[in-house]
Order: sequence, then C-alpha cells, then structure tokens
Amino acid sequence: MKQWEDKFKERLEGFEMKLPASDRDAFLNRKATRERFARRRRTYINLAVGVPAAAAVILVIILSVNLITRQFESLDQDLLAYADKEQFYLFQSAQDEFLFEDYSTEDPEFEPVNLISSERKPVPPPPAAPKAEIIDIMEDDADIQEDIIASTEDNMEWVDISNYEIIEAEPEPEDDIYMVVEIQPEFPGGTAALLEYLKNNIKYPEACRDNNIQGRVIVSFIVEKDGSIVSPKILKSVHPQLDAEAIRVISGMPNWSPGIQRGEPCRVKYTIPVNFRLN
Amino acid sequence: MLMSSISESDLALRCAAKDQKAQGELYTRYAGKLYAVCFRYIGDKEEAQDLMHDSMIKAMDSIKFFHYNGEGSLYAWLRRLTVNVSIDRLREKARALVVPMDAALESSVSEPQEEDVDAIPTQVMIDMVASLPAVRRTVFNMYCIDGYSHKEIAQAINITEKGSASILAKSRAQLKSAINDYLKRTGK
Repeated sequence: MKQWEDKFKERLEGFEMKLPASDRDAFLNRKATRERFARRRRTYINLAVGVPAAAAVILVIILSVNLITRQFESLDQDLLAYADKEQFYLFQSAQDEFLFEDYSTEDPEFEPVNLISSERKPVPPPPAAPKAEIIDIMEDDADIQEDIIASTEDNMEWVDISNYEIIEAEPEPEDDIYMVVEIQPEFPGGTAALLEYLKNNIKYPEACRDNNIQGRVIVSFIVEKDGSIVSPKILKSVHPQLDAEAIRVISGMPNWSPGIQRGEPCRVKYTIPVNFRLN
Repeated sequence: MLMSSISESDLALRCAAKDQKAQGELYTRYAGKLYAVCFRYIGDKEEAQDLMHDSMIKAMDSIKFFHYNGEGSLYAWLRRLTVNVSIDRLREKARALVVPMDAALESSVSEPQEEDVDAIPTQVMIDMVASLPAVRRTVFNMYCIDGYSHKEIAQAINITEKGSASILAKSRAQLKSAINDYLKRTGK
C-alpha cells in the first residue's frame, strides 16, 4: 500500500465527525418509535400466525364433521336405495296380490312404503306392458299421385363467363419477411461455426466486466436474399453496452446462406441469443 | 456510578441488558465515529446521519452477540456492523453499483508526498473520499481504510475480484488527482 493511503487509513479509521446537537434527541426518538413498531409488529405477527392457525383448526373440524355426516348420509342412501328396490319388487309383485298380502301381513315393519320419508319420490311403477293393438286392415284404395321429379338438365342456365373478370391469384409480394421457410438461412459452416464466431469476436465491455454485468442479449435480424445481415434489433436487452456489443458482432457477420422458399431465396427474420458470461 | 467512566465491556453488557442509560452512553461515545464511517460510504451527510441511526439501533438490538476482546474491540465490532449496513443501503439504492464511464482518468498524476498529505485536514480528506463515485468509494473504503480483502469486497458488492482491483486502481487515481487539486488550490 502506498504511503499516502496509509495516512488516509490512519486518519480516517477512527475519525469522529461532529453531529448536529439535535441528533441525539432525533436518534432517541427514532429508537423509541422503532421499538414501539417492533412491539406492534410482534403482536401483528402473533395475530397473523394465530388467526389462520385457529381458522385452519376450525376448518379441519368442520370438514371432518362434514365427512362423517356425509358418510352417514351415503349409508342412509344405500339403505334407501335398498328400500327402493324392495319397493320396486313389491310393485312388481303387486300384480300378484297374494305375494303382496304375504309381505304386508307377515312382516309389516318391512313394508317399504313406511320406511321411506314422504319427501322422497316413490319409484314410478314400471310401464304397463303395451297392449296388443288391434290392427285394422284397410284396403289400399287411396289415390296417390306421385310427384314427377323434374329433370334439372333441361333448364340449366348457362353462365357466360366472358362477362366476368378473371382474377388471377396474386403472387406474394417479394419483399415479405418470412419467419420460417422451407430451407432456413444458415451461418456459413452451421450453428457450431456461428457459436465459434461469436466466441471469437465478442469483446466484453470493460465497464460491464467491472460491474459483473452478465446476461443473454437476444438479437433479431433479417437475412437478405443475398445473405447479408440487415436491421439487427435488440429483443431482450441486458445493459446498453452489452446490447451495443451484440449488435456490433451481429452486424459484422459474414454473409449467410439465404433462406429458400419455393426454390427462391427470400428475406427471413432470424433471432439468436448472444450470451455474455464472466468466469 | 457515572456512565462516562464505565469500561467498554461493562458498557456492552449493560446495553445487552437494555439499560437505557448505557444505550445513551453508547451513542455519546460512538455516534460521531460511526457517522464518519457512514459518511465515507454513503457520501451524503443527511443520509449518513440516517444510516448511523439505523446502525446504532441495529447494534443495540444485536449487542448481545458481541464478545469483548480487548480494548477497542467494541468500536471494531460497531464499525464492521456499520459498514455492513452501509453496503446494504448502497446495494438497495442501485441494484447494480454502476461504474462511471470516465475512462480518461489521468494515470500520470504523481504520488503525493507524505508531508503534503499530512497538511490536509482530516475533514477535507473524508470529503474527498465521500465525493468519489459510489463503487469506487465503496471499494476504496473497504480495502484501504477498513481493511477488507478483494475477495470479501467481491462477495459484498457482487463484482469479481479482478474487477475490485481495477476499480481500486481507478479510485486511487481519482483520489490522487483530487489531492493534487487541493494542494494547488491551497498554493503548495
């Protein structure tokens, strides 16, 4: 360390700066306020923890009670369904009077009608067997006139197409910029060569290195029909200097092989990420 | 018992027990010094005052973790805590501490002579340090005055060790030219 720096250290290390006289009161005031707030915060935290905890306990109790009753209900429903079935059988057998009598007299408690509460709809009786209809045999004396289906061929109208303009399908304008084409544009030598190129040509801006600014700048550009790179744009910026460096490197790339659509070169928009990493 | 004659270790113990008088005494003894530390780091008097209050309150909360370790260790502990609070504040202020882009620093300024430096009043010295740009100020303070290593600095303000060293060189150059300017102004 240099001598003048030692002097700085020596003099500044334990240096005391004069505070305004009011500072002591201001400090004590602030400390008191802070302590009050801390106490209040503690109560809030207690509340914030306690209330939801209590709510959770209550919720659990409600849920479990609900679950138990639900189970009982389903048990009830099973019983009722059973009863329904029983009733249904009874309905069926009601036609057979003897059987019905048999049930109701021998075991009156089992009589399903009494088991079921009045709210529940009784199961509708099974539809009566369709009566055999008496078919009248009628004489076939109705005079049916058949519609003559007119032939469409005779009165077909001819359209004179000479009156209409023939509109040809418009060819797509040549200046369209494509996002995806049949053969994508490529850096000479492929993606690996592109990465190699970026690695060799990026100069990390010094200020960014000092500040440990890293990140991925995403740059889009257009590959022209001749493969040249135009209008590079930043899609995701990290830091103005890194962005500028990314733009510089991208614009300096050698010509690409252009993208090809329908056998013809066309303009294609291309996006690549440029990584800035410090080790 | 008069508080002003109490020893450092007793003062710390009493503060840990939340003794109001001891806390007042802690303020009396160290507020000015910690204020200077904050000013060195934050570069603004009012903010330094606010920061000093924060550090003091934090110190009073956590003084129970302090272990007495010889004369002056309480100040050393308080200073470390204050530096940490200051760096936290600096980090809050700028998510990334940005180095100013003045690349054209004269590096050919001659080394100031020892007796010239002796002639500079300490308040002027501290003002010089305080008027450095944020990152340079932080690195210079931590490395040259508070004795942190480049590794610790790199961790504290999230830069690389090499970055810290290069920033330190720049802050030295800037300080040297400030010293020379001052000497010229005072006619030496």
